[in-house]
Amino acid sequence: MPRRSGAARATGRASAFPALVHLELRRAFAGRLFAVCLVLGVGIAVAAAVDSIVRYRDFTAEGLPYLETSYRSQFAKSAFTQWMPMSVLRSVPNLFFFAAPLLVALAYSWSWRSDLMGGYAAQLLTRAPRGRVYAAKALAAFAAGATVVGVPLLVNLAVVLCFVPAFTPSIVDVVYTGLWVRVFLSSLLYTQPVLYVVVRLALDMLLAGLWATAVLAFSCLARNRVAIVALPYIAAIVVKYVSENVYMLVGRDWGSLTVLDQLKARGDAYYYGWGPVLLDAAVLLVFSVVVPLLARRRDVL
Amino acid sequence: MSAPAPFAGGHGRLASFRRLLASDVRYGLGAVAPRLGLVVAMTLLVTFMSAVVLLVHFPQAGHVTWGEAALLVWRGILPYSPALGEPFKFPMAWFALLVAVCYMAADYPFRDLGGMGAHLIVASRSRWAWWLAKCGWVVAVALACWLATLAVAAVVALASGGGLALGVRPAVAAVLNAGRSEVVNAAASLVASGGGAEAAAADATLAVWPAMLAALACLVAILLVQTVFSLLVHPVVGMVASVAVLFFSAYFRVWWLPGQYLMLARTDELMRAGFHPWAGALLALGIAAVAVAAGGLVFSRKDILGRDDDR
Repeated sequence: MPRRSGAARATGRASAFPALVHLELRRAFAGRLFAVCLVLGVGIAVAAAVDSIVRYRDFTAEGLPYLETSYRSQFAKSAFTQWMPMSVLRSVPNLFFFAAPLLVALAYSWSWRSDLMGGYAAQLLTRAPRGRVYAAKALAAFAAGATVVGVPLLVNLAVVLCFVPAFTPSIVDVVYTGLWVRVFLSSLLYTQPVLYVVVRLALDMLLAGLWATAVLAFSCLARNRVAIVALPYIAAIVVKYVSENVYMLVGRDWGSLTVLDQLKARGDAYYYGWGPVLLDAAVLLVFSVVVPLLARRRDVL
Repeated sequence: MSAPAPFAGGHGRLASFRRLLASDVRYGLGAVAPRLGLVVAMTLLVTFMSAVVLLVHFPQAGHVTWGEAALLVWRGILPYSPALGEPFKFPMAWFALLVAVCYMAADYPFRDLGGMGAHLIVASRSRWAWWLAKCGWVVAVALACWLATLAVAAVVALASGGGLALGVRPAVAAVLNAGRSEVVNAAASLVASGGGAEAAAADATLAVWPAMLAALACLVAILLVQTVFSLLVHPVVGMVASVAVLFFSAYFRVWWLPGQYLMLARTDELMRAGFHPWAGALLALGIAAVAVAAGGLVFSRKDILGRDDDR
């Protein structure tokens, strides 16, 4: 008896949610665009790591001759401060976080609209409830988005760790790192940096995953794939721009509000804390759930 | 309604190109007209926010000239120096507008190739004609966006009573942090020392219009490179390439990044040792020529029928 394909297995049992999830995960992680996004992300991450290593060597070489005579922050740069989310003063890491929302959305968040337009969704939706098909797709989009951000961050850290010692950074050297006390979770960074890396990575993957599912939800409203990916990105830019100008005009700030800033240790104009992070996550989550619910009565076939 | 067949009669590659270009300009611009609305909306938003900032810090300004209204949108930032230890504050206003422009030009050639375009290539018997027509469409999009921002600037200038003067007052450039020359620094000192009224009454002597023309040329160049990536990989990858160019242009001060010339704050008129508009125009010409030639060469050998991804 011939072996059935993933799609056949998933659609053959209307109630098989795990099979649907398996199918969508396979489609997401085997996709050409996911590979392109991952390669671009890892490429930027490796470039950032090389930059980190070169800067570490130059910085340390300058200070080491004075080690016995004076303190010149010879150990200001450790593997933790050279990791991408912490390198707020440098170009290549900033580029990664500026491009990340586009890459995350391009990885798989367009697939719901793509399946509807290509006719593939008709095969699934006539065999399984729409809610389950969409939920499986949302899980896959979340996983793909989290991976597109998580893997480059891990690769960057791994490369940096090969060349830069991983000692605990000191707040004394803050002027060289830019990671001031107001930086989100800075107390963890300066006491338990490994735990900080784990939390930072988890938080970035969570935000990236939520961004991916929010873009997937937006695809219930838009038809063009480029619009699905680009318009939420433009919206994030507008929110960042308007909020920063409002903060400047009123003379106080409520923190960086978008993933463009929250994926890194601190925003490039303002700091943020738990409040803006939770607000951002809640908005993305609510959007991811409410829009598909509101659109569930729409004719999809 | 679909576009009429552009190859109902006539032969030759030049004739094919002319018909394809006419079709692209007519129907391709129509296809992205709503996105031009987004560009206009973004221009209005950036102009409004920047004008509020200007009036808060320089209430004596009173009005803005056409050149100053254009500066509100196209100023970008002064060169960034990581050595000072400050985080890099990205010019979001400038970036928001340009991302909207990149979005406008993102995918029409890609979508056209997946639909009617493939048939037109066969009918025209020339891939080069099709590709060059798409390059013409990109130029038209860049020109439309550039003119839209200038039209908004003209309306703002007229509404504020500043008229259609093309110059910029040094104090306005100083308050917007869009210049660092002797003249601009002197105006900044004057405003800071309470001489705002005197600074506002100064003539609009700084001519930014040559830089605006260079900005148009560089915008065309960036969009052409984006179109090459869009056709060969994916429109969003093309946008990522544009985002990277704009980002590095804002971060680094190097003559060979075309985004430099999209920031009026970095021109030699407003900044000591700034970039000359002619250099930007020549750079744009070189990049555009390479993009058109390389894109055409690769596209003429590309499999355009075996694509299974959707549009």
